[in-house]
Amino acid sequence: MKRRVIALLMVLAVMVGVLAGCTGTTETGSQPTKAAEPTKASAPTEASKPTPVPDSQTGSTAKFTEASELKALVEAGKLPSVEKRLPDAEDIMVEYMDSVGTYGEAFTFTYSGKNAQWFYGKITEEPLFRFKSDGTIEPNVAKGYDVNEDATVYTIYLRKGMKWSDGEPFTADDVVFFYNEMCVKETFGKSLWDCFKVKDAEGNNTIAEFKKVDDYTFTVTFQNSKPTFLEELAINGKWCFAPEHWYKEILPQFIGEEEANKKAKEMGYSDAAAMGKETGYYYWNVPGRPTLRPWVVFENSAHNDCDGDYFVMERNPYYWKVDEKGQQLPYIDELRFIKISDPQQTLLKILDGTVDVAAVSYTDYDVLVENMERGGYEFVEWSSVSWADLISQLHLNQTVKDEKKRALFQNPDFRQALSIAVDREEYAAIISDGFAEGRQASPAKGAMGYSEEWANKWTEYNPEKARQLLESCGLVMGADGYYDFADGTDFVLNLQTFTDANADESAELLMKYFGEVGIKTTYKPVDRSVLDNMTTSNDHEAILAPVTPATTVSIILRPDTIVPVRNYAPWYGAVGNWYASGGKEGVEPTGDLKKLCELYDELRAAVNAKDKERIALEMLKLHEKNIWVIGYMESLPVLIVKDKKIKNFPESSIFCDEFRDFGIAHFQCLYFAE
Amino acid sequence: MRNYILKRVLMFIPTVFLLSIVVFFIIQLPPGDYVTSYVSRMSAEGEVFTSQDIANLREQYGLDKPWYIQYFKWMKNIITKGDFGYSFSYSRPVWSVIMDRLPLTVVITLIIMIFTYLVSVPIGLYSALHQYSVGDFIFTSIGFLGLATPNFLLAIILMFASFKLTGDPLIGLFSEEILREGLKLSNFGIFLKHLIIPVIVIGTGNTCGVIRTVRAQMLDEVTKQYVLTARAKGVSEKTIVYKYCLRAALNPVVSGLAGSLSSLFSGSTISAIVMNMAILGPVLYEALKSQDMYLAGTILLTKGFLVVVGTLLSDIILAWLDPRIRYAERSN
Repeated sequence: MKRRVIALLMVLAVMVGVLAGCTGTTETGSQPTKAAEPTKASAPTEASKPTPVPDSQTGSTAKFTEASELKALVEAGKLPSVEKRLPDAEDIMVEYMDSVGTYGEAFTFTYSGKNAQWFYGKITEEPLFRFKSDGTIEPNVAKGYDVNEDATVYTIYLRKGMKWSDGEPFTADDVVFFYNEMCVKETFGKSLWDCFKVKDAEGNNTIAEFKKVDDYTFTVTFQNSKPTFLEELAINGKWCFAPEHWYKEILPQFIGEEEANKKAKEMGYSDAAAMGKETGYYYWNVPGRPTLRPWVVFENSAHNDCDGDYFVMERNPYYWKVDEKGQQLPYIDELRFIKISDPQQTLLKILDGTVDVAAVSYTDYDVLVENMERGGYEFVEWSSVSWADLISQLHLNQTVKDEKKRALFQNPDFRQALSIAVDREEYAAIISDGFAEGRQASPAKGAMGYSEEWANKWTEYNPEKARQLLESCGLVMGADGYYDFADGTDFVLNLQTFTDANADESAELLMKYFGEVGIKTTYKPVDRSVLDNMTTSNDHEAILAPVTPATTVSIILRPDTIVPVRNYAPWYGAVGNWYASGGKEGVEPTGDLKKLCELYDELRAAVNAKDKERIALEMLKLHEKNIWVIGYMESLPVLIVKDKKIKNFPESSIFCDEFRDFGIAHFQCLYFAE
Repeated sequence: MRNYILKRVLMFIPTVFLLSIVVFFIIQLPPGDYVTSYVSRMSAEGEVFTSQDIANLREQYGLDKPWYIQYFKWMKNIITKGDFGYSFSYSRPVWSVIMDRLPLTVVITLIIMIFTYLVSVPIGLYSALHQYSVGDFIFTSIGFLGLATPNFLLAIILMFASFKLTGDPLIGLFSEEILREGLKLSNFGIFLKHLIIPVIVIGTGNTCGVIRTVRAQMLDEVTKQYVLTARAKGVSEKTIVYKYCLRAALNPVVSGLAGSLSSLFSGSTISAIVMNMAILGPVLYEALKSQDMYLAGTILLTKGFLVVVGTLLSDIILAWLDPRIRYAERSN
């Protein structure tokens, strides 16, 4: 119980932070420019506080220092000195942290080959602007920015003298090149991200224009106001640069189709298109591809195959961040990845102390506690932004193909019946071993739109009332003790999920509760890709533990799972396609669901942060009213196991994709100490 | 004899051809394709795909065409260029993925096979010569236990026991040290230590079958007329058993060896996954799961090819060994 309290407090503390982050921008004023002000005015100068820093003992100017193996290389004449490798002193990024670290040692993780590329991708990612755990952004690769009055022209400043991991200068050319040659031309197989698009006054989609001002300045110009550009860029765009000098030698637009295909074959790819995708999008896997990350994969390394049994990312000698004392980051020498073929092997490797940081499951809690001493690790809990526990989320497809079921699923009374038919107290006690509590699916405590009412809506256990509600939906009790449709045909609720979801226990319980109120229920787990396919083609009915659960750190920044913007979350089914195709495909929504789509249109058109928030809250209200996603249990914090000796690891944070999961721990700042 | 072999070799070609069609067809059977499984995996990590992105991926991989066209393209490249295609998930040539793991796979499988036969043949022999003795019962029970225990379960139990006793779960064939520095004389002992669990787990699964075969064959042989005659003529017991009976009894074991040619290539998949062995079995499993069809297709095709080759070889060896088969052929 004590654990629970701590967890809750933490969620509260952190989430209030998020709320402050979201609303804070609006309080400063209604001007779109103001929305972005906190980052603009204060952060850039602070984050890039000029070094060298005065040495506290002697008062003299501290010199930049580096890891001993780099020093050895410098002395051997194989590498320029650290001052020459870092950006100009006044533009160096200084990471401020709890404690200043020391160099050495390595992190070891397990990984499942290239499937896990996002794991090590996120912890080494360096975006132009990065999220802080309070939900605001700060400059990272960029030094700072200016924006004009109506948020149409952003001027972004880079750091002078900054270098790619191969020592070549990093300039505005690399950004403009990335946008024009890779994003717009879809070189890496992704259509242009939404963060670069805006609707003009006539409602036509237009795309941003990137322009180089000088080597370390560029502008991004939109046809219409784009107040959330930087946040969206931090989510969609992440990095927004690519090494022009490197690509000029391999891309077809520079060396010709034939030559590019030849290069691709040499590098082991089937053709230039595959090469563009692998080196452009998943570039952190590619040996020799210059990056700005703290650890990189070198071409001449013995362990540079990200699909191999053992894979190592080594220190980037040109990394552009230092600590307060002028020590070049990262502290840790290298990241090591041991390939595993079964998740249980990760558990064993945590127990024996090999793995340094990992997210673990509550079902392994006991065995982990038992071996804490031996493995030398401790637990950290980070909040989750999921609306409800993953395996306790029920999505009823609002556009299910069966007409009779569709009418039923769209009826709020039916959803209420399914919600109150379940004894949440018992359910949560069984499913979470008492760790979690029963709850409705709704924003996490402290997050935007949270209300206690919503969290408790339709949560009282009342099978009698559920039966009445089912009858009011037009269902008739049949001779077999289960409800039938009014025309006498059997009604069967088919629950589906994917096999790795571990939802069997929760499905069994739900089937029991539903059966008790007279709903005949079946349950069938299928392969994840099959389920995804079903969702895409609108062949799904009722999905437990959906592949894309309702979860978001902010409905304004990333609405996909709770607003039907594209073919994605199971609950809105084909409405997503309808919205994405501008009404050409999919199923047109009605009632509140249509209103939700219209509100989202408004949200996108809104130029003013206050308006955006008002509309977002209105959208959340619609969710609260309709409970399109039924939740039975709260989402537990993400349980993390980390080596006890690792310092600077955040005790509390939010684990979500927007914050790059573990990435927000800033691995370049972590170090080992007794 | 020559005609017999010629006929067999000629039949070999259409068999492999049919096999390739069946393999390719079966890989296509599950709903969805590589792109679906890829998109769902990457979406789970937060990556965003538009429907246009997905269509582009299909086009890039050539998955937008019907399966028979994909098949003919694949076959054409194999026959004309020896090109088995590209693995989608590894984004490199299929054959290089296979070659990465083939040497280790063959070595490991050979070690396990040698272990299996070294243990099971003597035990089978002992059991047959001391039928219904205490020793026979003990070996039979152990053998059946080994056969009946699911290999992967035994592997998990042994790994956990190893962790509890020594603090090292002995996962995989190599320790982190070997992975980092490569296999050297100084760390060869560690490698051997890591071999213990796989050899026990996979070995015990196979020994029972061989023990039972040897035992049954031997029991058959020792009751035959020629043994009685030999014994009556005063031939020593040792000669009877080792020179005559055992040779005859080993016949099915030896011809069974030909069949294990394909398991050399990718055997004991589940155990290999549980024990994290870097051999081909897990690669095949992953490829099938993610519908990486050229990789899965090539492994399956090679496996099938080896089965056919193995059968051909054993047919030829048997015909050479056993005059009855030759006579039957001639009279046809």
